[in-house]
Amino acid sequence: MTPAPIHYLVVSALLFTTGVVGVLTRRNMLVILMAIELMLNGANLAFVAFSRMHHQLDGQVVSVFVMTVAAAEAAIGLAIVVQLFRQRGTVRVDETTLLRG
Amino acid sequence: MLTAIVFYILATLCVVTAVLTVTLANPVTCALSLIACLMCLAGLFAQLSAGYVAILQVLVYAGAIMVLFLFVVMLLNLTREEADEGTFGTARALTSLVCVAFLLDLYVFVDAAVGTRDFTEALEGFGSLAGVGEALFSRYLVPFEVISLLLTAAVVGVVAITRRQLSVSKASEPLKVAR
Amino acid sequence: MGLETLIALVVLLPLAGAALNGFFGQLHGKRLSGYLACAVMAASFACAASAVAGLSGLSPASRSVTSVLYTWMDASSLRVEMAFTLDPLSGVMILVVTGVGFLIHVYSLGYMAHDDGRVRYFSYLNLFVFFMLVLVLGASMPVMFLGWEGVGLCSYLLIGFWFEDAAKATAGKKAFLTNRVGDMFFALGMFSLFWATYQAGSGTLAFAGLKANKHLIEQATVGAVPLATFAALCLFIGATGKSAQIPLYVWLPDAMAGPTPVSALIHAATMVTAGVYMVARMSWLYQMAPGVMELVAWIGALTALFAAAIGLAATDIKKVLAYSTISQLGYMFLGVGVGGYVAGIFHLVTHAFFKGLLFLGAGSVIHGCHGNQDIRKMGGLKDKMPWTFWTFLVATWAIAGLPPFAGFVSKDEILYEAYNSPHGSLALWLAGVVAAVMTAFYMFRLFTLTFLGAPRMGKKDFDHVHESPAVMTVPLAVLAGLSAVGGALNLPGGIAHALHLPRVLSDWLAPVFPVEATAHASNEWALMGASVLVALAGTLGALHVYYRQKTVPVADNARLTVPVRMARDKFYVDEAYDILIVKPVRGLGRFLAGPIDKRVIDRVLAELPPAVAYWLSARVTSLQNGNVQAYAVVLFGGTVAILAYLTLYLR
Repeated sequence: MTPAPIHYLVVSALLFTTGVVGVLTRRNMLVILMAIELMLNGANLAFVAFSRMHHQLDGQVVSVFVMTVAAAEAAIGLAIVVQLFRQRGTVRVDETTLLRG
Repeated sequence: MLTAIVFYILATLCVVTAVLTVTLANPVTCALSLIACLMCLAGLFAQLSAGYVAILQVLVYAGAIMVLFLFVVMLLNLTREEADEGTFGTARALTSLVCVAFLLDLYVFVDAAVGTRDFTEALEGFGSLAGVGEALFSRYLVPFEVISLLLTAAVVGVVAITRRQLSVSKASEPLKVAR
Repeated sequence: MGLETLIALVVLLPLAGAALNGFFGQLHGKRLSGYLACAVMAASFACAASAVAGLSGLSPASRSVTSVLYTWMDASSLRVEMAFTLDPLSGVMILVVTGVGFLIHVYSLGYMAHDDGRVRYFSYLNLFVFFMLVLVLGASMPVMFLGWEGVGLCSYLLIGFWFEDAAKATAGKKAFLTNRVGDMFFALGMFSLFWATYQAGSGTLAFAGLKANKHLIEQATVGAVPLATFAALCLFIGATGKSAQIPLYVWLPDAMAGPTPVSALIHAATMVTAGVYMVARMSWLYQMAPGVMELVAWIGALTALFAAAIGLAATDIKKVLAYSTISQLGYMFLGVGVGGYVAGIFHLVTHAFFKGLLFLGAGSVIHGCHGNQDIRKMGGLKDKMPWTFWTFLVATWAIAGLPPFAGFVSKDEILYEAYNSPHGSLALWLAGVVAAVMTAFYMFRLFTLTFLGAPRMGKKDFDHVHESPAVMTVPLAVLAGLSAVGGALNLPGGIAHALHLPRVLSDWLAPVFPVEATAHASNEWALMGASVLVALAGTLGALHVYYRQKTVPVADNARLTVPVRMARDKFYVDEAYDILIVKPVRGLGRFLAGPIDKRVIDRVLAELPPAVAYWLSARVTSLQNGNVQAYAVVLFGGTVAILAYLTLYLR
């Protein structure tokens, strides 16, 4: 049975949902950032699969953009994590419930 | 047939490592399993005639971004990680319920959109470096340039965020490590 | 300047004065405030005079000029302009209000010279004049009502002018509350008129519009009662409040707590005559309700009698004048009630002259006697205060109805109408005549006890009595002149006919009032003779008792006969009102404040909602725990729900 678009899309949905679960349940901010990467990649897979299905390159181009954005996001996010750790000594989100510095 | 076998292996690996990423306690192992997941994804991209994206996936994601992650994880040298992750309370049950519902939603959507459609034969050179590069520098030139601006902004932002503000730090006891 | 501009100026000048004194009075100083107030009054009078002169230049049929300032309310079917109409009737009124008002302002300069609240006083006084002008010039019922309420407010403020004295503040409150009863009925009458025209599709409250829609009002009914009757009755009850008629007169005697010039201006010359003016303004309505007209006439006659009876026994110089005012207002209502609108307005004008003068004279006496108001402790002031004495004599002469002064002419005309008009009767005339006897009697009693005979105050006090300064006596003299010759405004028909002189006021007002020819009756001379006789009888009786026999009213109950004691105690009306109205209302208030408000309202409405809110908020608070992930779950859950809805919907 050759893989059809639906298969790739199911994998994509699974990846995305796993990412959501990670974001919503994990307390470690680093892991949360990783889960966000998972979500982005799930979306990327869907883009590429559709791109292949429609013979259009646009999906692939967008997935390149997503990767770039993910890089920027990871850089900023990690910088925040580092700074937070310096200020509070923790990267647990449930312990940083106050906005006040 | 071979394609199918490869797909199922890659897909299974991909999902399993993804689940591991969000369930493992140690951030280092999380990061490592995420790298594995991204590698498998690169394989899937390659299967979908997206060679260029697959290469970028390996180079940028697995190579650069994840190294950054690992670097930070080790830099912070977290000790007390996830020790008291807590029990499976009502909040988490609610979250799971919401996520399952979301997955069902997604499936309904995808099924409605794609259904039983199949891939047709890929065109010659589809997804090659030349093809994607041409698209990037013609139709997507403006977004491409904007993205470069975004990256610059990110670099500046990171520097601004992580720079130690000595005056403030002195005043408000910097580095209150652990309680 | 066009007539419209002049009319607006007449009204707005006093307002400007009030605002300048009220807001900046403390800056420009107490001395200047009085002059400013007088100056705006003089200017307003000048404008009024030239406006009326301009009006008289128009043909009689077109003598109605409306000046629209702006649209006050515009609610589709109800449109009210802030507009002032000058017609012959309001022309007479603004001349009286600004003219007498100006004199009283000048007088106040002297009377209030030593009072610390002068700035406030002049500001209120200007404001009063403004509202009074709004009342008489208002082109529609709401504008008139604005003035109506405004003069009530100023009356309240000025009665309680010396509010540090609790009794005076209470008197102000009494006036305000009693007036409120009347005002409510005024508003009811106004609404019913609007309703009648609105039903027919042309809702209006402008006097001109209402008059034009007379037929609609005539056809409308309220239940089984013709609407015209209902509206006229309500408006008249409103008038009894403002013009101190039975049963709402009780506030006026207490209103004497205010400064005497205020009593002269507000509670004698102008505000209290607003009811008469209003009935005259709505004369076409009253013509449609003959039953109410008869009631008006009878209420007027009874009030004239009743108040005169109390005036016979009162011993406070201002109280005598207050009851006299009520009585004279009764005369005016008697006049308009029998359809003698010109007679009523004529008496209103002459009354403004001589009663204003009487109050100012009384003020001068009080001023000279250092605050004493009890006529039993006066006497012999004739030589000490010659100006006051002579002017007071003229006014007394006039009000007593002795010829040839103004009071005689106007009162005689009312009595003539009461007898000869189709609405009049012998009984009404008799009531008027008896009241006239009493008027002459109590006025000369007052005059004699105050100015003639031997002084009844301590020698030292008597030596200190002095004549008032010129700033007070000059207005007295001017008013005395007007009281003397005011009758010429409208000579009795017979005399005018005989001498070929015009009846100025009758001709002037003719376009305003419904033409109802009261035939030139042959009994005019007989009635006039009777008037003179009764006035003379009262006068001579008073002089005999108080001048010849030197009787002085006593305070001792035992030596008073029962009727006199009852009259002196004002026939216990205040006490009856206290038991019948004030006490039950107070009791109801206490009941509502105690068990109802504290036990029920506070519990149910004030304590229950907060308790519920508190309980709920305690439940909800836990949601706001600062945990971003919890928020994210909720946010994501919402997204999923919307997605789920869309999938189901799209299916």
